[in-house]
Amino acid sequence: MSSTGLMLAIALIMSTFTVSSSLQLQIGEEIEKYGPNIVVTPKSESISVPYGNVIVGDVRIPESTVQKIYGIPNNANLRIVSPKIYGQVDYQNSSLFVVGMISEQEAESKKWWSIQGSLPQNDSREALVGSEVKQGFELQLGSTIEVNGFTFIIKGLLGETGSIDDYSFFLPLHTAQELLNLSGVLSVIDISALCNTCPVEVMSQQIMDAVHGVKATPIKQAVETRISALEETANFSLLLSSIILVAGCAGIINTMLASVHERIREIGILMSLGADDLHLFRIFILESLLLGTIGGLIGSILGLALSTIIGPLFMNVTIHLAALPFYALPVCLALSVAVCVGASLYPAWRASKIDPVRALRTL
Amino acid sequence: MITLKNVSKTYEMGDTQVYALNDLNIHIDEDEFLALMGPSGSGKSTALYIIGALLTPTMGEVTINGTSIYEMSQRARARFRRENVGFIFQSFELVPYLTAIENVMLPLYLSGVPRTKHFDMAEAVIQEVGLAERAFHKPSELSGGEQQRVCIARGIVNYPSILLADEPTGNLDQETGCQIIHLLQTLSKSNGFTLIMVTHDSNIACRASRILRMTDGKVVDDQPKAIIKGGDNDSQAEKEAFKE
Repeated sequence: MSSTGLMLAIALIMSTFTVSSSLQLQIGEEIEKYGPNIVVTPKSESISVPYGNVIVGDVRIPESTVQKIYGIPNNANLRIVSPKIYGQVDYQNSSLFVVGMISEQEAESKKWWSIQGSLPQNDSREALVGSEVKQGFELQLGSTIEVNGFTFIIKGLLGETGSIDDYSFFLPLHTAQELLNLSGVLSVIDISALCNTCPVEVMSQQIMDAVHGVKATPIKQAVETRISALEETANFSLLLSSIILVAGCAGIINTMLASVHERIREIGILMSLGADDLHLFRIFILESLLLGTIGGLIGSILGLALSTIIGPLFMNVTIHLAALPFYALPVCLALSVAVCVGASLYPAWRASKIDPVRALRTL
Repeated sequence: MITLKNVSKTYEMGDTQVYALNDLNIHIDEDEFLALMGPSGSGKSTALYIIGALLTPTMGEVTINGTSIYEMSQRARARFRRENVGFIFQSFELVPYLTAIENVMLPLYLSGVPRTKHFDMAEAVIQEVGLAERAFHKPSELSGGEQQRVCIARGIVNYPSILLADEPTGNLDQETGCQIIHLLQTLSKSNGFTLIMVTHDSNIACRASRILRMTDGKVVDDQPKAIIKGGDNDSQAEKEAFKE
């Protein structure tokens, strides 16, 4: 009975480990879809053009910066590097806010984009237009637009985003550089780093060390939201595990006390054979060690199996056993043994203090 | 040599004191086979547990081979018990999930005898009680007589100087009981231990070299074998049993 309770508690703890580690991985992946978390801009005092929450100045970044960014020590954590050029051009007594981009990278970093049509092909004369630009200049898919002597075909219409993207005229990076007469330079580089565990601040510093004259700004909000979400998950798991452990511990104390009572006959026999309090204490503690090890092993296996089956069904979490921290099994085993031995201390002490004649007369 | 000097054991029953033993004085020689007889509640089992270093008397002194055993610490007394005393019980009291030989090995484990010697020592004693072929059976697979033999083997495996038997034939038929007493006598002679046996059965008690009769916690009669009535006249059943 006591081993069943212990196995159940350990199974639940292992399930919590498995589900929470998979949940953390999933949350990390979800949050990374919210957008870039490092913005690389020129290091400049003269600022003029606002773009989103980033202020872009007249000073530009050399295009070769992108290669240097890929050379930083934590380059394995770079998920998306999206270089861009901004500029304004006159058009029909008004002006167009031109954004040059590498289409796939930009679209990947802005998962919320809804595009009718397709993205402009790199180095082509194709364009993607924001919703306000489309309405203002009455543009349609397939229609053409002539800007500063360049003719562009509208390949994609961007759905409303509620951001400056609605007022932007998106072109392939090199085409925009040509239009703006800014070849080989960039205004900004947006970076999405795979930061489930990596430190964004450290990566920003690595970029600034690798490339002189740029400022790499970690977007704190995204990072802090992610850390907070992960911490909350971990705290919830910890709380749940603690409750289960306390309940398991109480169960073990009860069943071990019952075991001492049931085995009073055996204790009497051992005492008549010359067992002292230390012998009896040792016997019960050794048994609890064995019980803890076996219970911990079976419970861990049961927990892994249960979470793999139940996780996707009830919590909509795909269980990744590879995401399980390496210390999960040793921690579960150590917990199982520690709880079992800890909970057996009092019953073992009670067994060692039994009056031998009382025990023998129970025979 | 065992000496009980002015030994009393009292229990509190509400406001009254009940005497289990009342100023008991006994002297038992080395290698003696003593039978303790008396009605229920006369204090014979209490006396046995006190001699066995299991029950502290309220008053008096118990010395075994010159050592006052109740002046020792509890742990030292337990050690004294495992080195000098063997117990045999009416209901055998074997650990049910261990085999016969494992039960016999238990005192060796407690005494700290090297593990490599446990099996050989237990096997030798199991053979001595004539149970070699049943050594690997669990108690539930053994008859009453066989279980008592295992209990005897467990009691003598450490070669104690005192063997205490609490109604060893109480759960056995007469014939098997006689065989067990014969075995105890033989072992007592060959191993040279003092045998103290509590019994109700005068036919069994008369096998002893001395009989102490107790009533109300006191010795009321102390007879050496020579003057025990019928002491040398074994019953027909005993004679038949001892032939085997």
